[in-house]
Amino acid sequence: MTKSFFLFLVLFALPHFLESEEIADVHSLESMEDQNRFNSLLLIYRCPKCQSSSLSGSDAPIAKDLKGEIKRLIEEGKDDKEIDNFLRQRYGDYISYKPPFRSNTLILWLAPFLLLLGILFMAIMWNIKKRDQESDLEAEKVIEAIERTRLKGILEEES
Amino acid sequence: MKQAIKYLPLLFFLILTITLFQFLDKKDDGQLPSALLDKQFPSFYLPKLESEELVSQKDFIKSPYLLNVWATWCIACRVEHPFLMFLKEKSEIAIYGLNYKEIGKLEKDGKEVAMELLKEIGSPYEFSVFDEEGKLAMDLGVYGAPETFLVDKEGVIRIRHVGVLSPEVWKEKFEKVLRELND
Repeated sequence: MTKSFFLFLVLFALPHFLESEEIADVHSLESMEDQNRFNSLLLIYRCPKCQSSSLSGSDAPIAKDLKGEIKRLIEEGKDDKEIDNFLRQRYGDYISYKPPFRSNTLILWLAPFLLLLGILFMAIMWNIKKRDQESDLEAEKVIEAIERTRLKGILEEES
Repeated sequence: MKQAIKYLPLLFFLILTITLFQFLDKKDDGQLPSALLDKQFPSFYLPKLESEELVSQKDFIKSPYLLNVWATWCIACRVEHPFLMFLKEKSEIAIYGLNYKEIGKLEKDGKEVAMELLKEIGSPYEFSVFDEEGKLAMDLGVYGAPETFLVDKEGVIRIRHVGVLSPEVWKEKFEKVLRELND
């Protein structure tokens, strides 16, 4: 059971490993630190043309342009927040894999917690019910035992 | 109760199947919500396609106009071209072009290639902005051609349409807004 569970986990995590191993982009920056920043930024933003791929994994012309633009912004010393604003102003929230926390995305952010709460509630209810059933069973046993002795008494009296 | 619980996984599976099945037929048209809707047209300073003259957003007409993103390499742009010509002939609205990342061919540079095509099939545009590097296009959030923007007389973007501008799209999406703008 545990073995198959772990296999399941590993299989699910596999795409993530593949994603992070995508080849670094040809755009090279001078410092290693900037290069690392650049590479990690390309993983959080998605290509507007091929919407299920990150900028890093896309060869579409627009993705190339955006990579160039992000590189330029990094070289200009812009921080991540400014780069994020730049992209969102032009391409909207869709450009980022991380949706903002707003009224229309509330369900997206809260759904996992609600689901967890729901499951917890169900688990607790189930446990209570089980315990009730067990205590009912025990009570029944006690009653049975009492009745049996009573019956025995009656039978002995008659004989 | 116990009996019902036994069928729960099956029910769950059926719901999932039906839900996913319905998505099979849904065509993903790749339309992204535009971030620039109801915002000011971005400022730019770029050459015209037709001459060396530099133009900016101030050179557009002070009444509603269309900005159509096109290029010679864009096949779908040829599909909507007749309809743009039709709009121009009916002088329904002023149309400007945004020549997006034109690519030169053989001896000819991008400008020459684009001008040649317009000469051949006719130009629906008052003029085209020549955006070789896609700078204005990036400010507009363009991610492919064709795209068409409807801008009002205050220079605010009112509609963005990604893909071919067909008569149907015009009727459904543009006509009503344009009527409101003209009132």
